[in-house]
Amino acid sequence: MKGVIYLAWKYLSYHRWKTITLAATITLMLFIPAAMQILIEQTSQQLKARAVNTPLLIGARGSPLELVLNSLYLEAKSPTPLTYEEVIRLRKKDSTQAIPLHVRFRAQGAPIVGTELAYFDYRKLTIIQGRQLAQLGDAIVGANVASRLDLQVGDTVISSPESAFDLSGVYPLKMPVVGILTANNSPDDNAIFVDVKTTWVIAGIGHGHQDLTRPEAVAKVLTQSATNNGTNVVANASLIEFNEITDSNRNSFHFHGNATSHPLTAIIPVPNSQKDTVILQGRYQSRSDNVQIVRPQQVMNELIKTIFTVKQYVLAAMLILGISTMLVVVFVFLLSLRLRKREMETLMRIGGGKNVIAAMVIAEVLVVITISLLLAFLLTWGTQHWGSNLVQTLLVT
Amino acid sequence: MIAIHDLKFDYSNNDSVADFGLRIKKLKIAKAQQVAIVGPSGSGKSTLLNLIAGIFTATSGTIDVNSHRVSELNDKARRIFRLKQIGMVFQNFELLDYLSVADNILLPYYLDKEASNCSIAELQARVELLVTEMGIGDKLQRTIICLSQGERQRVAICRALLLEPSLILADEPTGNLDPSNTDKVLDLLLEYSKRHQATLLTVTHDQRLLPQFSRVIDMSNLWAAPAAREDI
Repeated sequence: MKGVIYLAWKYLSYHRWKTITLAATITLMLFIPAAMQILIEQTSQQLKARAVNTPLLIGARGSPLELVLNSLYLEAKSPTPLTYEEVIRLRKKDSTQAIPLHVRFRAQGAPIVGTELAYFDYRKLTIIQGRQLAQLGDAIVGANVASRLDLQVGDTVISSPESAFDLSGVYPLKMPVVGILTANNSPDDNAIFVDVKTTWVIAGIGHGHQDLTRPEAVAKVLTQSATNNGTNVVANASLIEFNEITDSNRNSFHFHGNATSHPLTAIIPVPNSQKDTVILQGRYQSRSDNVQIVRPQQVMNELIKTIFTVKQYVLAAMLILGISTMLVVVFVFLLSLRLRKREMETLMRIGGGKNVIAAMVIAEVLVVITISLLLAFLLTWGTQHWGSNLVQTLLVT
Repeated sequence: MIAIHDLKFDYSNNDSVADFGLRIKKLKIAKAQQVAIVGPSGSGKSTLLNLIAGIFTATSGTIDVNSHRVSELNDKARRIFRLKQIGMVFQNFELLDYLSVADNILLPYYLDKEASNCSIAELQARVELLVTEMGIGDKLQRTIICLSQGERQRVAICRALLLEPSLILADEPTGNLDPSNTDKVLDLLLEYSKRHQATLLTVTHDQRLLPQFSRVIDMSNLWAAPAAREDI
């Protein structure tokens, strides 16, 4: 039997490209459906896990899915904004901790998350290098961002303009990196965190510029008039606005308008108990204004249900594809046997029995199938173990 | 020794040669005889070799080779008989291109270890000896496509002689060779036959080679003269 296996192996290794092609075909036929199953399973688990950890989310009325994807996974376009007034209302009237989120801008491909320090405690994010956010303009980067952009504490990140053609739009803001987060295998690894006020500066709601009351700025002043709140100064276009917040210009930064009207993309309420959660949900559901409360878990379950429905169709298509691939593989084997008819005849004439020759062919088939099974198993095992990271990359890149 | 009595063979299952049949009343070939079988195409030369080797089975009659009644052996017994007793050489060499020279020669061993009655070490030593005698000692690990036609036929002869057969059946072994390689190959077969007292049956169309054989059987004479066919 060893001799037969040796002959089979020799045949397969001599015709290595044919063997590799066949083995690869069978491997992919087995691996792709298995990998898809695993990846969908892991994706849904990861999507669910983040949603489970965020029982409630408040945002402006609109697509709940868009709100959840933007706030939890830091993806999708930013939803319709609501105002900071809602945070104050939650804290004062509902006695609920409220974490503001402003996820609208990006810097070098990473989302900029404007929030408050409570977010880091809520998500259990720790600093591995540097310090926490302390001043306007400070930035903390997620582990993947630091690694991808090779950022260290002391480097800077620059916010990206939303549109290159919008001259009156958002101007880039240069922000010093003051800390790097420990990796926690979540979308937070791929984000840049700043104080929510910093995102308002990026949005142009707050800004810093030359002090127009100083003598050297007199040439830039158009009009100056006294008001009840002080002096109202109108400058011309030559006034220099700061695009970086430094120690020397930090005090010049100020916000126009009432802070309660400043925009947020979402609020994460953190009720003290299950009862408070239900009461809060009830209050928001009875409101008729432009604010909604959603249960991210429910929203994600709907999304996952859709994914699983699609998965069933894909699996059915793969089954048909698998059967046709198997038929092609069988056809290749049969064709190969036809082409080797003379070789088989020679083996029989020398003294090889029909069973020996059949064993040789079966051994060839078994070797190819064994290699394919082994490869498919290894790839599936790899997907099982490292697919999670792959899912992360796919989800958040 | 080969003895054939009242042999009748028909290609009953093959339409293209349905009208072909072989009839031999009596044929005896002595041990260690070196026989050339000649005759026009289709006269049954190769069929005769295949019947003696037990590849084809006779419709009726008997074939005895070295006290084995080949015509009465079952399929498995004929296969083992072929492996142990017969060395076959073909016109087109019939070597396997996916095996090295060494593995091609060892092919009978790979097909049936028990039938070879030798350990792999003994056989490998025999392979070394054979290839040295054949003048291809430096080509053991080469693949077949790297060899010339003459070298390929010498590899095929080594394969035929590996298990030291008592009967060599060579079906036009020099048919695809140039005159120089033809002489070399035939010399090697005749030399082995003499040295090992092995019977050699060679089908050939090359009249130039006939004087080197101790006996010549003309198949067309067999068919043309029924009286002569009775007892040769």
